[in-house]
Amino acid sequence: MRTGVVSANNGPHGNYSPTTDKCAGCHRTHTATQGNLLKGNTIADLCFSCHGSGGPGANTNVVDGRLEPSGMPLNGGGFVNFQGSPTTSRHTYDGSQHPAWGSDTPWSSYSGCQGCHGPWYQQWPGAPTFYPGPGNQPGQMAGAGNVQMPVTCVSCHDAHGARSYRLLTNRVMADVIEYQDPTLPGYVQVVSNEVGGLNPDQTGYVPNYTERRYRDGITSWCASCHYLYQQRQSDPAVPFDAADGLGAQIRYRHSITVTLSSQGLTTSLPLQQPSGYSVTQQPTDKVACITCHYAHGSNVRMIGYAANVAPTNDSALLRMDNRGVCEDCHKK
Amino acid sequence: MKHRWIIVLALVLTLVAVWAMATPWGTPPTALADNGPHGGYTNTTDACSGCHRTHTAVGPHLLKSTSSYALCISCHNGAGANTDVVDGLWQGTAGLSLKGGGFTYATMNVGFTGAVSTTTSSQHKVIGMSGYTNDTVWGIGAIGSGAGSMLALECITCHDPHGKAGTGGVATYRILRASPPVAGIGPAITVPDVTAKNYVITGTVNAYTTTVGAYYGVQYPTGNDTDTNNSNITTISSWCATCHTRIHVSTAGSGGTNSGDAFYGYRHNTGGSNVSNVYTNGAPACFTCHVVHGTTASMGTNSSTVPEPGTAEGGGTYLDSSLLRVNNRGACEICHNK
Ligand code: HEC
Ligand code: HEC
Ligand code: HEC
Ligand code: HEC
Ligand code: HEC
Ligand code: HEC
Repeated sequence: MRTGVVSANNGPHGNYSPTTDKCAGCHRTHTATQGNLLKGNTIADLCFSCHGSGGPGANTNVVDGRLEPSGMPLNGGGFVNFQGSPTTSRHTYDGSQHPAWGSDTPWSSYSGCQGCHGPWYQQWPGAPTFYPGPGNQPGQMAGAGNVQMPVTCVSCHDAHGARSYRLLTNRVMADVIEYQDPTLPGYVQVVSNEVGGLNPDQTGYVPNYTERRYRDGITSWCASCHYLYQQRQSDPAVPFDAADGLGAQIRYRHSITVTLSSQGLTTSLPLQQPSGYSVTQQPTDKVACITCHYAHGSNVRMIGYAANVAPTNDSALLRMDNRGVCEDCHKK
Repeated sequence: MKHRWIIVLALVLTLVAVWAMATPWGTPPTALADNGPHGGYTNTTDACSGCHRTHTAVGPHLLKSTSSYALCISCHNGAGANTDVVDGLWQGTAGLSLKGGGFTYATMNVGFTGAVSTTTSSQHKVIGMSGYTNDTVWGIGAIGSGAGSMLALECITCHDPHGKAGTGGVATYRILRASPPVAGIGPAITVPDVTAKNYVITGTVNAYTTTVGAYYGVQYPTGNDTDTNNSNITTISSWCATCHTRIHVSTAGSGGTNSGDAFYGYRHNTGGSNVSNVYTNGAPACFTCHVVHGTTASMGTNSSTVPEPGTAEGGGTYLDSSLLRVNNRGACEICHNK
């Protein structure tokens, strides 16, 4: 455990001085055990060497979803355990190939075929190698909407610091090295209602790992991979295959960025609060991906009708057992 | 009702989880208000995923089927519910007929020769069924407003998939909407829910029989489907009349009194609860003569040439078997003994 020095881009991640020692936290110059001169056998190994069980080098133990030493549950959930029980779904972190459901057009619309097949895809650690996912048809990149990619911690987090909440990469599809350049397509900034959360890479920022302070940008950020899930209805020219046996067809989707008050609904789930943090629901408070989902992993249970729902057939990172997340708002 | 629920049950047992769930196995269940995935939701209900998909829905309203009809019968064909309304059977115990008849097949004793499964001859047709075209809501609206208006009927016009369909959000009998979403609908009628659910025809041969009290086969009690009173049946008639407003009349002697309507002038009293074969026991209710989903009754020379309301005698536009429980006009004769 280390006593956290609260600073911009916490820990060894960014805001480096000319004589920083931080590089040595992760890199070995002549004796590295993996590419990019990194320590550890895999990216996850390296990250968990600090963020792992017991919090060997950081208070944020993402393996068990605990803030050490108090054991408070982390906002993001946990990869292996959460709230004292094993997780029932998690985002991949080990680099194995999995379909990113609903990933689709941005890969070609931002960068053409090169978005996936360009020579630069491995120019930063963890940049994914892509394969057509379930339902994709030969010669039709945007066919059924699921690209397989090998996600690791650094596909989502920028180890060197970023202008976003939680070091979230400013460009998920990094087809150029300078992926923090706001003028290039695909730039997303995620900001929060934490102290200093509008500029999380600057001094004065105080992260809060256990109380939800979402403000803006997170939906666009998630959608940089799960692009299609923002569309309320599929483009008829781009039918979608959800691996549910129904094949590629038009799909209808829940609104993602709708304000809750406009629908006359209330919830105990976290919302994006673009007008600033408030305990009571504000008219501007919006539903976001993180309203219903954890980012890392969830320990909720699925039985009955909620068990084995395609495409994931698991608990889909949901925040509540079964379809608690529906009922919490809709109160049917 | 097959393997799916067995798997679900196994899961329930293994997880030793306590969830509010339907109990659609074996004999007609003693269930909660509403039933199945239709209402009575806990804060961590799994029910929504019986019908909805959040990001991958293939039907509007985020439904997992392309139409409401396809959704309903994906379970109510016997695959996910015991009440198989397509075949008109309770699949929990083989051979028991559903109270509502059936949409494609029904097992009814329409000729008093025994209950057999045959193709239906009339239905409350809903969008999605083969050969569907919009039809008239006979008798909707005020006196003098024509034969009725056209409606594209759906299962969810009559039933609320989420339950709590009564005025003030109370549970209703068979999740019937107190106020179906239809233009010109009459005042809301909440048909009270029953606690012990019994979806099947009771009677000596498990079907429509000529026994007193069971000729029309069914009891519609308030509170409990197995009670022997029949008080709910009059509320159901009022409910039918939210749509078929001018067909329903509860005043004695209505058969001899002109309502003033061009098409629904003199009308049989439908305000009673008589399901017996004795005329002096009182006036019938809608369900004394009709089933709601579909019937196998057949019509003869006279009964197959009854014109639709608003069309001329002999004009060729005739009613079909009109959801009647018994062949021809057996429904009249058994009570009146003419
Ligand atoms: C038996 C199938 C079924 C189940 C179970 C079900 N729904 Fe629905 N739902 C429907 C249908 C059909 C519609 C569209 C017709 C309508 O508006 O009633 C619908 C519409 C909706 C709507 C939009 C219209 C409205 O009524 O507000 C919401 C919101 C909704 N459902 C939420 C839920 C939630 C939350 C759950 C779980 C607690 C749930 N549903 C369970 C079938 C179902
Ligand atoms: C996921 C499966 C499923 C779907 C889809 C479904 N139902 Fe059901 N429904 C059930 C089960 C299970 C019951 C409990 C009784 C039984 O076993 O048949 C039930 C019961 C009912 C009842 C009796 C309720 C009561 O109060 O006794 C009605 C009416 C009904 N469903 C109508 C519908 C309609 C209309 C639709 C389409 C919108 C629909 N159902 C879709 C599973 C389903
Ligand atoms: C015109 C209104 C109406 C329509 C349309 C309708 N129902 Fe019903 N349904 C009823 C009524 C009324 C009952 C109660 C019947 C009884 O108890 O005799 C009922 C009963 C049921 C039951 C309980 C089993 C039974 O037979 O009593 C189920 C299940 C059901 N309906 C499902 C459906 C489905 C699925 C559809 C569409 C395919 C549908 N209903 C269309 C009015 C309707
Ligand atoms: C939501 C409105 C609605 C309600 C409520 C309703 N009906 Fe209907 N009914 C219709 C429509 C629409 C038709 C014409 C469609 C058809 O025949 O398929 C119809 C047709 C009929 C017919 C003629 C069927 C035929 O074969 O021509 C009968 C009989 C009938 N209804 C009886 C009833 C009874 C009994 C009830 C109550 C249990 C009832 N209806 C409740 C809308 C409704
Ligand atoms: C005494 C038996 C009986 C009762 C009770 C009864 N009906 Fe009918 N109904 C019939 C017969 C028989 C027909 C066929 C047409 C005819 O003979 O007039 C019919 C036809 C209909 C039709 C088709 C259109 C029409 O008017 O011809 C509708 C709709 C209908 N009934 C609804 C209802 C409703 C709603 C109730 C309860 C308010 C009800 N019926 C009560 C016997 C009955
Ligand atoms: C369950 C018993 C029952 C059934 C079934 C029944 N009726 Fe009746 N009928 C009655 C009763 C009771 C009355 C007296 C109603 C009143 O006006 O209070 C009556 C009245 C009548 C009248 C006299 C009307 C008048 O005012 O002169 C006729 C005609 C009639 N029914 C014909 C029929 C026909 C046709 C059918 C079949 C479609 C039928 N009944 C089915 C019980 C029944």
